[in-house]
Amino acid sequence: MALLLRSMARPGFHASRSQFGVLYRHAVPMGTTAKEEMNKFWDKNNRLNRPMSPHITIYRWSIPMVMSITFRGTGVGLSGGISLFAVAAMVLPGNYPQYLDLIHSLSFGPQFLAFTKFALAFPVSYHTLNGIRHLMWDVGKGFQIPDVYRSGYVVMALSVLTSIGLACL
Amino acid sequence: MSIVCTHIGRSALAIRGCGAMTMVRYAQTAAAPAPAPRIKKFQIYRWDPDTPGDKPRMQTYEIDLNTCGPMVLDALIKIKNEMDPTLTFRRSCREGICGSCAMNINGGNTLACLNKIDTNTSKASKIYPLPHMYVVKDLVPDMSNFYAQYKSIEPYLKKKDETQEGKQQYHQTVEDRQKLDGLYECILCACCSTSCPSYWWNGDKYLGPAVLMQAYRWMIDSRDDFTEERLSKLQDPFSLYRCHTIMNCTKTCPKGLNPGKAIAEIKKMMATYKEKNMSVS
Amino acid sequence: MASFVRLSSVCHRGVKPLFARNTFLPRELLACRTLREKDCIQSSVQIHASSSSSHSAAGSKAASMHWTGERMVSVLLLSMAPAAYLYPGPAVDYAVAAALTLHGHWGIGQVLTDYVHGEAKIKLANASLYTLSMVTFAGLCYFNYKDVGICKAIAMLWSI
Repeated sequence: MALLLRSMARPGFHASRSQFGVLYRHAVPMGTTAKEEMNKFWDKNNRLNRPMSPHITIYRWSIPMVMSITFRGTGVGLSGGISLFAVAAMVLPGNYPQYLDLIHSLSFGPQFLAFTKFALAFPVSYHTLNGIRHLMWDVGKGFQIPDVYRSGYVVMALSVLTSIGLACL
Repeated sequence: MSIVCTHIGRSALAIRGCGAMTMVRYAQTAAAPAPAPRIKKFQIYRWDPDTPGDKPRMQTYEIDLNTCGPMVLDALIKIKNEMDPTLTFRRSCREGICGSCAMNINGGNTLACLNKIDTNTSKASKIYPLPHMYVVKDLVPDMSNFYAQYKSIEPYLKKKDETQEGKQQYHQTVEDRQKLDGLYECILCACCSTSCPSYWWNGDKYLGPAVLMQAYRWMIDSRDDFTEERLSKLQDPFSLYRCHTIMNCTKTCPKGLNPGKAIAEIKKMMATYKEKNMSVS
Repeated sequence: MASFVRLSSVCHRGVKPLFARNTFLPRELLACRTLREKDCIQSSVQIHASSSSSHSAAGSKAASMHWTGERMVSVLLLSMAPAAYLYPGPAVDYAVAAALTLHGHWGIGQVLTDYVHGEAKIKLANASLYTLSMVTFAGLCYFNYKDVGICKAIAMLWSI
């Protein structure tokens, strides 16, 4: 290769450059930036109408994955609940103690009330405890896979226990 | 053949001697009965771009595990050699170092050459391409975006002063070199990135665990001078911050690496780095 | 990759860019060393980095500050749980209302950034989120002011 380059450097070479025109044409040095390559990717794949390989339908669910989406679900659910409460507070007539009296007058059984308390407490305790697990990750702790599973089991167990405890209050 | 003959010859001589022992020896040299075939089903994703109107489908192949190597790649090659030459997949080193045969096997992303076939013949093995990728053909995904994202993080040593380049090694202490362990071994197979739901939904702008781990590899290389600049390139809602610590990446890495942890370390650095006098590079 | 084009235009003597592929860069660089050494190297550095930021030193740390803010509010909210139990009252009520609304706003914001695509849809989703969060905060403050307040409300609900 070096020989080739050196031979090209010789002055007399320039005259014969035309015969290498074909090589130049094929070897056009079109360097691309990362951004250009990404754009080409999207253009090409949209044009070719290639199928997308399956993902959520085929990927194996694992405990950390389920816990992650449940964390998001409880977050969205609780947020929605709080917003609903806030809107109700502004829109509904009367005050809060009146609504509690209304519920009291419906005379639900103690098991039903305990169950409702559990159903309210569980998303809060799960989201809070898994939130703490997330904060531990944010400081860099607990990233080995066995630890991810262990902390996951702890969160799930404590969530159930705390919710039961709160429901019994 | 001659070995068998000499064996038979020897046994024949021995038979003329005492009874039971020689009978046993003869039985041992006779051909052993063929083992019962262990038929394993492989359900494999197929799609042909050259057949107009073709839709992705699953095709089932049956393999006798007694005549097949132990890894899924062995099965794929056997299918291609003996049953269906049109089955298309990438492969090269067959030893888990090149990253070509990355695919989704039984729901998890791994290298086919390192994934042992589950010998339970009552269950079929399901093989799909890497999830949420454009399919070129059968099990071959379009990796160009992944490679472009890798290019975008400038995965090479950058020095502020390049005048000393090539004169001497850039010195690095043993401790500093140890920081690269668990990072440099990445083979860019894309198993982790394609296991990440955030990369599924935002693969255009989120860099994904593989690329982010390599960004981290260069950030903490003591010989590299552009750490702050590398960090500031991630200052937008998508490049780094679509990671929500789902941890599918670390779980699926066939090389046992931990991209989830690397990303967490990047987030910590992002929160604490001081914007010193950064140069235009 | 663009570097190969520019390098060849800078380094004239002796090096013809027949095939401008990766493998040839070291040779071209070496060839450059014999002439305008510093210029060649500097231009290659600038070109390599042309895809990265071309702005000056002060970049915005908005994204990482947002991340830090989210964690701080989470910790704050966490510490308000025992506070609400031990010291119920208007101070904690309003603090909880603020922290809860902000935590929820940022949380839903992440969900929308993840799942909503397309410029118009993103604008609409973010605008709706702002409205919802403001209404939520208003409602909670109203409840704290006119009604029993958050801490008392939970205590009362639990003793039905």
